[in-house]
Amino acid sequence: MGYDMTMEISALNEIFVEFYYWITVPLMFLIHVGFCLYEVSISRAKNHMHTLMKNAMLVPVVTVTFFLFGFWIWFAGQGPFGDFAGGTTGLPWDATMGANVKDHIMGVFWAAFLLFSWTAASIVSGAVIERIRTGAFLILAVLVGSVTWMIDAAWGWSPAGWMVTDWGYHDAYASGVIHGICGGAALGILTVLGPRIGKFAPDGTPRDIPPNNPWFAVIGLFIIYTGFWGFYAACNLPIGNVNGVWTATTIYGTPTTLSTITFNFLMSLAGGMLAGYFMSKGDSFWTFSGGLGGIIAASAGNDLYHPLQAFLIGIAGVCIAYKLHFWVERKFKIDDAVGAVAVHGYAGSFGVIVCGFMLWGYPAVLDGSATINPLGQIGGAIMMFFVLGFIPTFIVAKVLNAMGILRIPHKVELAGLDYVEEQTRAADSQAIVDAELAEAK
Amino acid sequence: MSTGVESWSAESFAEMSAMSPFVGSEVILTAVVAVVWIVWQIWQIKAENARYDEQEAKL
Repeated sequence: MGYDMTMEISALNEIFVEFYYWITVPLMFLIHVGFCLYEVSISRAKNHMHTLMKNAMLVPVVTVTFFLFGFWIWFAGQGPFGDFAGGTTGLPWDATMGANVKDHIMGVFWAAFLLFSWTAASIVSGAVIERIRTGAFLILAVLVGSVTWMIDAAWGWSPAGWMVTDWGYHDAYASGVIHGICGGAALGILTVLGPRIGKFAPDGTPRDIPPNNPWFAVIGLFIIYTGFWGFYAACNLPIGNVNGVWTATTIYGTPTTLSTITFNFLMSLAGGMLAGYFMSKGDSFWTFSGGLGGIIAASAGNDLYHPLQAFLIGIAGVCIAYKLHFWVERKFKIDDAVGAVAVHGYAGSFGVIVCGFMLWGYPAVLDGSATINPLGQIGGAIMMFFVLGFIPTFIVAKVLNAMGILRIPHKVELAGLDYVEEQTRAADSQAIVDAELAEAK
Repeated sequence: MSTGVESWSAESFAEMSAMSPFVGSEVILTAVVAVVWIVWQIWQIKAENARYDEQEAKL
């Protein structure tokens, strides 16, 4: 029997791809670690544990709903508009959704998408801290993490999605598909939820509620940067044959290289940090958030941009997002506690639109049947931010508010969301001290 | 008695796809897990409401 080298290479390639995606998952875990650290550090001491638990509990809730129906939406929603007949792929009872000797990759692929879902819900989580009820937030987290973002991914983040094939929509590293929609979703909730008590003076002037621990907040953002590498890697197919050339591809099947995205990730990060520092005159929170905003602004086209273009787009995106944040805060009395709408929503939407001009005429899909263009990208930005981002969460938040389960009661918010736990902890500690003193006598 | 795989022999392995026990129960399991999720969500909201009612009464 002859040695079948082709089969060996094919098997090695498959194992490499499986391992490549698998390693992105623990890397993306760091995004959630970073978000938790960042949110807790931004919140005041009286709200720490509530803030942590609200964010942490989205992990199990989004995970189970993503298994039940979220992943299926991505497969089912691809294709022409309104066509939702994608078969059983991604449904919990499909043969590939479990231990299956004939399929080695589905669970890893599922996990990569799931980690995007956690990120989506976590982006929203930061904006609404210190006054939203955990139960209401978890319903909204399921809506964003397991439903709306999966619809937009089916429509605009797959080679068969109608926004890609009909509009030429291009968003390689999810400026709009993740960040635009989540910024819009956060704004939809904030509009109904209202600001934290004390955020605005009686005459409407916004007050700064400083982070409890600014140092830890920026370390949280640094950890998010690290996890973001995993996100970028997970957006690619590491190796594929594109018309006879072996290369990495985007999720659309169009070519890119790991070299390109490494250049552009770092250059857009650098541009964003410089812009954040410049706009805020050296404020640590906005400088680090600017780094994130810079990457997000350039992400739609970071598969093809020149690094210097990515750098400049990062700068422009952060300057616009920073200005818009404070304008919206003053004008509409929106209290976005962590600047999530700005960093993700405004910078992401800007990134989607600018990509339409920068990559105008580039093939959006491999066969060239659709091309990237400004109108398709502007339509895509509106679709992500308003139609799939703002509107669904605004409606659901309105319903939750009418049911009286959206906002923390006024007195509890003033006393602190950890009031009961803190009182209990203090009483328990005192009881131990009393017992020790009694024994010492 | 076996809940699933009975042999790892080459013949069995070649024909095998799903390896988990009780193959065929996935739809029922999905319904059970969906109920667990919904019940947990309702319980969480009720528990949270009760907690805030208690806290408001103390303040």
